[in-house]
Amino acid sequence: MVADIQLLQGKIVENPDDRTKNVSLLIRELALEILSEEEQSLARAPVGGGE
Amino acid sequence: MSASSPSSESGSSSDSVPKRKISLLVVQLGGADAVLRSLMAMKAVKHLYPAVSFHVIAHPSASEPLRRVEWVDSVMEIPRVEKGEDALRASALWIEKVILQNYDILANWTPASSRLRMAAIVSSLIPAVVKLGDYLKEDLSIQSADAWTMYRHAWCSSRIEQDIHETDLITTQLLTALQIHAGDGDAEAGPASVTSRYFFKSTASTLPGEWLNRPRGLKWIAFHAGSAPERSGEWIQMVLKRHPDHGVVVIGTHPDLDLDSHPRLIRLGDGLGFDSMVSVLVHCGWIFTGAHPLSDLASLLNLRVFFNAPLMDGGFGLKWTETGPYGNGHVALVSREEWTPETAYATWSYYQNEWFHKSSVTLQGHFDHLGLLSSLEDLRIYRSRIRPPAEGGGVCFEQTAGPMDEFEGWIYRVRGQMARAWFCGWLPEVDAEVAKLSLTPSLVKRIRTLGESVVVLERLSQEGRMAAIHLKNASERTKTGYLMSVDDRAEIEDSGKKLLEVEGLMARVVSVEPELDGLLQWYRQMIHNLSSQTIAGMAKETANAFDLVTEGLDLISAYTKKTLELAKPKAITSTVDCLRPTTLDS
Repeated sequence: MVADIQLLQGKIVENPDDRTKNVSLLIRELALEILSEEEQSLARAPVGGGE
Repeated sequence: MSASSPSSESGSSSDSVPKRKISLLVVQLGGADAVLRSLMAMKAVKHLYPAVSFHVIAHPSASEPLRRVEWVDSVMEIPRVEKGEDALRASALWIEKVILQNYDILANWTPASSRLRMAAIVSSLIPAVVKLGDYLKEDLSIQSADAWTMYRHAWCSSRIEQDIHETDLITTQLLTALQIHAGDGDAEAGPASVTSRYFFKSTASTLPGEWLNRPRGLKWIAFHAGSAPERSGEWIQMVLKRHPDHGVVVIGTHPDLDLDSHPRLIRLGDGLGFDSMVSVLVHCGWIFTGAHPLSDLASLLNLRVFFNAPLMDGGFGLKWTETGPYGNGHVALVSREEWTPETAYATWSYYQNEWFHKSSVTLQGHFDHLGLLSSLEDLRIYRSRIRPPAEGGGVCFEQTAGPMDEFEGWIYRVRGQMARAWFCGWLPEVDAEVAKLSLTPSLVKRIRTLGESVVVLERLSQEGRMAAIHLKNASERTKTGYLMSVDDRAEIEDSGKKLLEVEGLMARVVSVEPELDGLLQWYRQMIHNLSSQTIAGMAKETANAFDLVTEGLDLISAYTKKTLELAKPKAITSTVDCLRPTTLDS
């Protein structure tokens, strides 16, 4: 018994050079993720200069 | 592979190895521990497919180890934006730079973490012929591209315990995809160790004077202060006192670790960089740690890890084995009660000398000799080994002492075997595996209870499959997908309702028998990742999902049946006659 090969081969992109339709949306999403991570790391940073 | 592939030159002399280069991009935005485990997987792949060129996208905080590996062709860090900088512009420029290179395969190995979504977006943005791992769909939800990633979400991201190490999981995922798309690997490559003292290229690192001037001719043990339990300073004193040929190098600091000076004790503090850390560790035989990524780095450098494994909800558990130290001969200790230096020393000293006593002394005997036998009731000790391919391969942790939970070990093993059967087409020798079990009345009783739930789930899975097939047939009759007869519409509705009902009933069975939860989570993952655009296509995928659930249940049934057969009392052919006392009459 083995899973359907389609499950193991991964997602096959017929024409990889044909970028997805929503590139600009994805870039915006990426920018939001990067900003959100920067905010989180700032929030984790120690506050104040120390007495 | 790709028509847009960068090169077509031969990469190996062997006929079985793919002739042209395969460009492979790994997206690993996890921490340093995940990066180090990815490196072990990449090394195994490189061994079988020498023509693969590796490119990696990592987080800046964890990219350093990748830059120290000669066969990693390029390392790219996700951009960081300074305050006031335009994140959108930075992201767009970064992506443009990344896609200058064409990739045949993109494998997103980022584990479930805060950067899972970021990695999925990156995976969607970068063109590649084949994609493995998570990516972002057009509706901006996260989808898994392959079965191993679904398995990782369903089994590894939850509390379910299964015996496949993360390194083995991603290695098998990539090797399977390469076999499908690029043919078999180098048949002459033979087995290879993915760990080595020389894994990283040597660099001119600045080492503390204390380490450079260390006493020569000693065997060194690295000790990670940051993960040290209370009283672990006493463990160091015991080692130094009883092993004059050993020295201890303490890495990091801990406020409760109070150590007296000793000529064979070196303290290196917190300031070690990656290169210096590697330079120190390659001179050590053991490391005492309970933390990632140090245990991963030590595994990769072929040190023996004395791993202080965590408890799960105050009890023993096996979840840590999924990311535990990788390789042969590591020792893990889990203490249910307070950690004591005496038991830790007894454990370490037994395994330190195992090549001398060659198991002529048992671990229990060693504890008994030290007057510590009763302490074994509150701890578990494991030793790691790489299983031979006939047993399923990969790293495993064998319990060598402490209270056993036979059922926990049984179901943990069966779950891993299910995945091997699903994705590798490899079937375990159930008879041989079951023969190794120590059968106890509690194990037999528990397996019998489980068997009852397995039968119910099997029946539900069959019903679900039938409903999915009805749904497929009814929806195939509608040519447009939305114009249909009243009967077809009723059948589609009924089948849809039936599928929901089956899932609800499966959830109820699992609430009674939580040990089967993995199968429900697995089913839900597959349903979440249906890729077809039509109802008929999705119904077909749903039927396949039920097939896999049924196959998993069949394997549990096979183990259950064999175990119960073994436990059944057997009639002994009568030898009583010869034992009967003879009488004068006879």
